Amino acid sequence: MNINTLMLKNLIKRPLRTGVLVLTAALMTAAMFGGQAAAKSMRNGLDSLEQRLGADIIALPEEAQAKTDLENILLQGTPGYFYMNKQVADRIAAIDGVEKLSAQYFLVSANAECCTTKVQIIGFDEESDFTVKPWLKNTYSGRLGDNEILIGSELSTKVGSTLSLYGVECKTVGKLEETGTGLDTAVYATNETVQGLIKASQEKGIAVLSKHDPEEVISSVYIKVKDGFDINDVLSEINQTIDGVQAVRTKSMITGTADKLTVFSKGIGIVTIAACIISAVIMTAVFSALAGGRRREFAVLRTVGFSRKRLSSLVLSESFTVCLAGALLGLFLAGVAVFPFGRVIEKSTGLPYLSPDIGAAAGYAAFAAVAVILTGALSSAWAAYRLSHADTGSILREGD
Amino acid sequence: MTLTAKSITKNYKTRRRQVSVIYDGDITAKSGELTVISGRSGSGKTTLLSILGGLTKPSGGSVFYDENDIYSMSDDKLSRYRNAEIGFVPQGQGALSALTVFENLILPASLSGSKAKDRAEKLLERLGLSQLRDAYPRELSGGELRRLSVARALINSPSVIFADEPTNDLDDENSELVLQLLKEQAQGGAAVVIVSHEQAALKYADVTYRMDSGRLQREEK
Repeated sequence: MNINTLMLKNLIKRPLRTGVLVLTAALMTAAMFGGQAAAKSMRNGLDSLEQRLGADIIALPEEAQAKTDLENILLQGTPGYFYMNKQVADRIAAIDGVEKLSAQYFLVSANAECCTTKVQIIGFDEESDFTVKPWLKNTYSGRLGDNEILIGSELSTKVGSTLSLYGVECKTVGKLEETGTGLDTAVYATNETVQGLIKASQEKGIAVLSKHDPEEVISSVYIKVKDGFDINDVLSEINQTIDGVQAVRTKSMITGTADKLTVFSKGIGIVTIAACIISAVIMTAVFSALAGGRRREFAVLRTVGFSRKRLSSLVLSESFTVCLAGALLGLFLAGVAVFPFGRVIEKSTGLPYLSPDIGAAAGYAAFAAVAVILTGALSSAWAAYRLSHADTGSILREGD
Repeated sequence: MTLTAKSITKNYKTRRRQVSVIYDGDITAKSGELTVISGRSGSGKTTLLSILGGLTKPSGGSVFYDENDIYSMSDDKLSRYRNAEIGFVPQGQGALSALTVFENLILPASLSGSKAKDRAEKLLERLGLSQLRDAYPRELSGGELRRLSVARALINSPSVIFADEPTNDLDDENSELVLQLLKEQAQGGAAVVIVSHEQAALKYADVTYRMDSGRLQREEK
């Protein structure tokens, strides 16, 4: 018998005790890794959204619901639409301090027409666009023709295939990078294509735009402010001089989300700390109870020649093995729960969600695993000390 | 090998008082001799055996194995010494529950990395445990566990053997078997020290001591 297998035999022959410890370590690892990964994913999503919006100001119709609708489109992926007169864009362009702007056009696909649920259709002007095409995943340098579309990363449609929108076959020519936001489920086309779709909807009697002439409206205007100009000044100018429009700072679109994220992150932090403390207490209690229950066994090991150092290393190696197994299990469970269900988490929390890259995820995993193993080592250190320094003769006499 | 213990004392502190277990005990055990220490329960025999075996540090006095003062050794050195030179049969159950009978038996040899398969098989055969080679301790009776402890103490062919009530839980036949085996170890050159309150052990003794309330006295045969 290899003496180094004694540790494994001890663990295998006490499945209940080992199982409890492995599960405790797994719980702690899952809480730490899952919590960190989820919080980072939300932070990534928010950063991505901020970058993706790419504008300093967004101008929307004045009605109060428009801002909420846009937030829902961006954050929840809930399709929506609202419209204002397209001359608004020209008037904004004339305001001092506006470097560039691009109008967009929102439309919603008919239910279950192309996809399992309604999708957001966003029309954009290729000439002035600075918020959609920079995020094309596949190299697509051409111009979008009629009935050609770009799609968000979440849509399963492949580049080259077609989507039927209001009975119009639209060819997918490119896919955008993942943002972790509602924009990932949207379809993008030129304003002309979107106007064609609206007409098609009217012919089908769906008439999503019955009150407006599609060629006379837009949904939003993305505005970039020139360097040297105060964004708030430009924003005030737009709000004061253009009727029927509310201009909002892009950052303010996500302020509520950022606040929510802060609260959520704190919640995750508290849960993580609580899970760590509970796990450490459980591990310490179990190792301590084990120390009491194994006194005689360890005294016998002393009689056959185990040194204190070897006894301590036996206890610590058991703890290390248990915690390593727990850490691997916890990482697996957290990985299974956090990464594939990002969209579900996004929906349930209302926060944008973009998983960290492999390097960052590996860093969180390593941190959680090391923390759990160290906790196990500290929890068992006292037991190891007590067992190895107990008076062997006294223990052998106990109960006899 | 000559084991010499001089002026051994052992005191324990409890919350309320200090208890003296051994008063100024002297004992010598030599190679080729089987020494029996008898006495009533609680007289301090087991504590003395633990001190002689390097398991409990005495409050006073010294224990020499030839010229080596074992309590001046580091824990690592004493542990290696114990593994190589000392066989110890503790009182009561002494098997590791996670190991089979065979694995328990060869544990001291596994620790030192020595090969002991043949000797282990012989000891199992001699002590009537061959059929239980792959059984776990929970499957064994008290007597079988006792014999396993004896076998394990002998696996490394130690030069000093301590046995604390080795015939407890054994029927007459197995008591004779164990005592005869220990006697053979002494005849083979080991110094054997047995603690027992049973008369059966005395007939195998070359030297006898009596322990009464912590006071050790050599008895003339």
